[in-house]
Amino acid sequence: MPQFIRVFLSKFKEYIVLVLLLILSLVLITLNNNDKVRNVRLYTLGFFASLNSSLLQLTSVFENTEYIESLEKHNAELMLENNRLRIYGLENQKLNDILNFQSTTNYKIETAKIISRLVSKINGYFIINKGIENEISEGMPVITDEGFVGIIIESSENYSVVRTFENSLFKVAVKIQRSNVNGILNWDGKNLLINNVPTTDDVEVGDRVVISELSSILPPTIPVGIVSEKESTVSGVLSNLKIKPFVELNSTRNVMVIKVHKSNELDSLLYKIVGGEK
Amino acid sequence: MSVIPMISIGSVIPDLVIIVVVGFSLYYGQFFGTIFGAFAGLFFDLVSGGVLGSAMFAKTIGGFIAGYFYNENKIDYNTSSMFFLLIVFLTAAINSFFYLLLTSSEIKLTTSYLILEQGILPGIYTTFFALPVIIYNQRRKGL
Repeated sequence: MPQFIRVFLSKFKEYIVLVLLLILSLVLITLNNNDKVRNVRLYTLGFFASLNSSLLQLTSVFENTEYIESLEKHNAELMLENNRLRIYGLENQKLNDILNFQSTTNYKIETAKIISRLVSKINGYFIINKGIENEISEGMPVITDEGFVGIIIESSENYSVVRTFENSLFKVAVKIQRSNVNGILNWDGKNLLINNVPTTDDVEVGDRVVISELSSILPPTIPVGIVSEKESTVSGVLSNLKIKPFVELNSTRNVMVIKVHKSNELDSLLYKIVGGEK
Repeated sequence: MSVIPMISIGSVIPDLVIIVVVGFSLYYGQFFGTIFGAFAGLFFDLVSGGVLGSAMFAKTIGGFIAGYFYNENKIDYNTSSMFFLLIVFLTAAINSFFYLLLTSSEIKLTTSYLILEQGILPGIYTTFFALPVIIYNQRRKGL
């Protein structure tokens, strides 16, 4: 019997190794959210990101990066302010007075450099050179001076992973800024889409799309893109909207992280509602 | 990770890691090629921030497939002729196909998109980057 096993192993060792390694990789896929696995990832990510960062510093030795970063940060702040002003213009001033509307969108912004990126039309990820030490944590939105880029999904001491909007796992609540029509923005591998919007809803090609107040993870009013196409489904009752993003991810080198954690704020509110504390 | 975005054409990106995996399989055989592919994929997953295990899965298969072409007596020929490009193309296309399949569970993709845009095109582009390998090997051996 041991002889038979030995012969079997030596004859099919390639297949056995293949099957074992494939099972191991599938197990790893299922363990992506496991704390221990995440810690290992963060550690290696931090190590290689620091190597990558050093390499980038060498290649950009002749650039005045500080000046560029400060200008881009200023641009991003202006973009957010500009967008806020658009909303103010669209909203009814009288209603605002009645509701004693107060601005809550003075966000803190942290500039960061993209030091590594996984270029894929299905799984867009950036690694940026800011992390927990810069008070950056999971769930924070990432923008440029043009608009929305993605969400922080993991942070180590000095580095963070950003899931960009060009990612199959990306989903966020957005609205048409002009008419306040809400929908879920997602990435289908080629385009940004808002699916299943009722045809009767007031949406036109050219409308601006911004993050909705209904989003539980992102603060509202961050601009995302414009409606570039409106297609009716077969039944004609619903439409699918194609969105042209403001940000061209391939040419993006610096980003800004908005230091806000809406989910925490919502959580604490919900806790208050149910009588708990947080 | 810093260089790849610069040489990508739209969504089509070359997979330089798979070229190394193919080369390793052709030099050391299917058994070691499969193991090397798995470790190379795991390393890629760890440093890229992507889904852990996805590149490992795809590159394990890549190493295994490339290993089929291993021949102890033809190592020089396999790594310095056009045959190498053919193996790289085949392996890269299959690797890319499986990688996408595992990482795009949330979206609906057509078969033609998977095969053409995420299989054959990245395969062709990766093959282009394997050209210097056979040129180098040919010069080294004075062929």
